[in-house]
Amino acid sequence: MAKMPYHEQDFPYRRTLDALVTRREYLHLLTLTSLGLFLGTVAVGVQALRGRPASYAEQPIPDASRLAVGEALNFEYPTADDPAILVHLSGGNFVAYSQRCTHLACAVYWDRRRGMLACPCHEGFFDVQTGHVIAGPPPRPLPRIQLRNEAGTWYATGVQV
Amino acid sequence: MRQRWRGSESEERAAAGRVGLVQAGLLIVLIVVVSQLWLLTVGLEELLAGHYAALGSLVALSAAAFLVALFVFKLVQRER
Repeated sequence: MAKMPYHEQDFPYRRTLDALVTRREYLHLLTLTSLGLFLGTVAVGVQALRGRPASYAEQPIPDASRLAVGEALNFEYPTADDPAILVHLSGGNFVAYSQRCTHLACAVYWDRRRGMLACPCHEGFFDVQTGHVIAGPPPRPLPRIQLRNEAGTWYATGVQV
Repeated sequence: MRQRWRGSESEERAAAGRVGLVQAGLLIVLIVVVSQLWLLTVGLEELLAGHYAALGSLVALSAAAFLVALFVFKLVQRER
């Protein structure tokens, strides 16, 4: 009988055990992975159904009518946890967007000097007229908040993604 | 010297065929899984972008892909 090497006495590792995962077992594992990915996609669909608001409540934006041209105002819409920004572009021309950058949700601000909405975290820039990405890493435009003016008061009426 | 067991020629051919079947099944399911991973990525992107219209189709496609994987798995399990 061959003498067992010294290291194998302490660590009785059998290399042949490595081959015990068969192709069929890999196939089994891959099929389970497929099931997991399907369930993940279902979870995304369910999240979309739960997250989609049926309708947005109309809310007044306090102090919007007193905003000077070229100035911006922060407010919350549609809920108190959703920061938004209103910009007075020119006489009576207002735009509003969600303040969450579409990259990593940092708060965007109105960069008056550049005339853009800017994200300070990774230097993302958005067109203030349309909300489209001009530069930087954000993958999508900013969600636009729809506005309505009634008797001098500005109202946020919905979100357009 | 270790002697390898050799069955009849038809048995050897059948064994080789089974190996081929399992390998083909493995490859097909691997392609299915990669496709599903892509579908999930697209679904997440659509969810974050607020575009919900395509999500139903993505779930249906992922379900179909899983059924293909399951079919291949069952087929390979049957051919032992």
